[in-house]
Amino acid sequence: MRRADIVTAAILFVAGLLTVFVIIPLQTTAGERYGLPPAFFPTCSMAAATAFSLLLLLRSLVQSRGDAVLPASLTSRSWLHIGSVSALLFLCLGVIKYLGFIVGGILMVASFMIYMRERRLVTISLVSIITPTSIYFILWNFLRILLP
Amino acid sequence: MEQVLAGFIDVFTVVNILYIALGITMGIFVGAVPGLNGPMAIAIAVPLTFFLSPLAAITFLVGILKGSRYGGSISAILLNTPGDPEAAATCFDGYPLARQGKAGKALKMALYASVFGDTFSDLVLIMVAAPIALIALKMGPPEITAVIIFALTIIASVSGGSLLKGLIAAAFGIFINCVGLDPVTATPRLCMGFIELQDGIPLMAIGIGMLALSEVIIQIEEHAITPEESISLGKKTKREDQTLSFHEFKGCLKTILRSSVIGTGVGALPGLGATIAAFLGYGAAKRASKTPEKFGKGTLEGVAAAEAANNAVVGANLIPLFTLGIPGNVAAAILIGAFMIHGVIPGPLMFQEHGRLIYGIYGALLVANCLNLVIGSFGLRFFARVIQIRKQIIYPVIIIFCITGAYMADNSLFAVALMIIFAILGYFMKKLDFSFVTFIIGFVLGPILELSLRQTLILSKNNPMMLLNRPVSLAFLILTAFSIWKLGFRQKKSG
Repeated sequence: MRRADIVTAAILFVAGLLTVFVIIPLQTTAGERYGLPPAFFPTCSMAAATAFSLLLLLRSLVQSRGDAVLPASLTSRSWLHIGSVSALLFLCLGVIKYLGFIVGGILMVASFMIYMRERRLVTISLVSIITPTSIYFILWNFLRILLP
Repeated sequence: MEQVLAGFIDVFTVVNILYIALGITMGIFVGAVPGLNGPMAIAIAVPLTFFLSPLAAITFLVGILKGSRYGGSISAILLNTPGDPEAAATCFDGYPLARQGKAGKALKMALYASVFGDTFSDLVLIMVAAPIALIALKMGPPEITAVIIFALTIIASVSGGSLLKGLIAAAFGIFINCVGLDPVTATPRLCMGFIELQDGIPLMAIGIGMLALSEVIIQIEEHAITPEESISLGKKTKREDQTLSFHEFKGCLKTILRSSVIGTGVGALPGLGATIAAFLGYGAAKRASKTPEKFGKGTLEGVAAAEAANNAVVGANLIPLFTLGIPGNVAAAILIGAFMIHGVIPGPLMFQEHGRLIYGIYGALLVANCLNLVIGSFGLRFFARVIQIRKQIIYPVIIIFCITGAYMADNSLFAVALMIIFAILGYFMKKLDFSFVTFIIGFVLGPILELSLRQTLILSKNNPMMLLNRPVSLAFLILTAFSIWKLGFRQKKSG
């Protein structure tokens, strides 16, 4: 974990500095009208996060000298998994946006079932068709909520 | 007194009772499935409560939480896999009992101990919340600022393995809450050109993403190819092994009471949570037992101790929420969102402005315990079958519920996209041991902290030393510094 800690803390520290000195000034109005300026609180909280990241980085560097490096919590398999799942989720979200909830929902349920190594076609078809369709109709008929 | 009676009477409508029963059934169902838990179900269910009265909505959600705590014990006993982390201590004796053919006995003890612990902590909540709220009403902005900083530090230090990581998560949660319009000048902050972000990031997008979807993503990854070995409530076992006699329950009463006190104490402190309570209760029961060697080999006392303690946290967790507006755990943080949807801001003022609702919730908590007992007893065989539903079916269905919940919360696909982004963030936070609980609580407490800090600075003409000039705020800041020193030192020693 310590190698992961060093990398994470370093990334957070750099991102924190970037946020405090570039993003916050660009994305908030600087003018002080009453009390404190709008940028005060975001700057305070991000500065605190940046300072804690620096402490975490220093602590991890000091600790990693003497101790054995623990097994990584994020393996190449984890990256592949989160990459595939994210791509699948955003792809299905796109389908929901352009073709509607029922089509996108069927695609989403079916693709995740296949991803989880479900191989029975009947089960995949039944679950993926029944779930989004029933959600859509229950929400519309009982709560008058129209899904896309 | 009139408000107390009116509030209690409000609960006894068919609709409210039905919603409590529905919440408990959903909670037990969700709790029984390994990998799913109460806060996750609450996050997904909050958007469904938009159309309910505030009392029905809150009691429905609290019903889910209560049911899920008991539901977690079902898979702990039958599968040796806790439905949620809170039930981990139940595995120690529950599973050995099930292997001895006494699954029914263990499940019944878990149910009775759960209901006892839950009722005990609800009664403590009812007795202490109003007096504490009276004290809290006397606090001004400097005191509130100091209390929130103290609460966040405590939550950050006990919610994860590292104090520093907890503090980073809390500060990041507070920062994310700054997205949207500035509360004083109403100018956009950190909106990155997105008009949708001017209302801020919806709590439900974060809640559903980090609690539910990220957990499902992790569960899919960890989805074992080897099936878990489940023990069914066998018909071939002796009848006395499937029932719990009054004598057996009475024998564990002292343990249940002790664990209820421990669970209530732990639950009243922000951040500690039911898992710690369950282990503390279990440890205390083992130390006090005349036969400690039987613990871990299948003793009813072990099941009773763990279950009474983890359920006693539910009511006690509402004490800081109702009295100070500070969520003690992640479920309470999501409940804040539900309260706000219905125009109620949790905190001491709630007792003045929504007294009838508070007493209605108290009544509902007690009714929920009775219903938990009834539904848990009669539905035992059904819920024991739930754990056999294959994960290839459950997880994809939950994903589509997450999408629906996030859409309903903001009526836009933008919120769904945000939910997916926070699910990915939650995945990395869990993998790298950053406390997502602290992140969410930081997000929820951010606006209160900002408002009270800005009020303090306005009152003191931009002099932050005002925080040190008031005795109560000074005391809390000293406590904060002491906690950081003490807890940081302890973590340093433990490596």
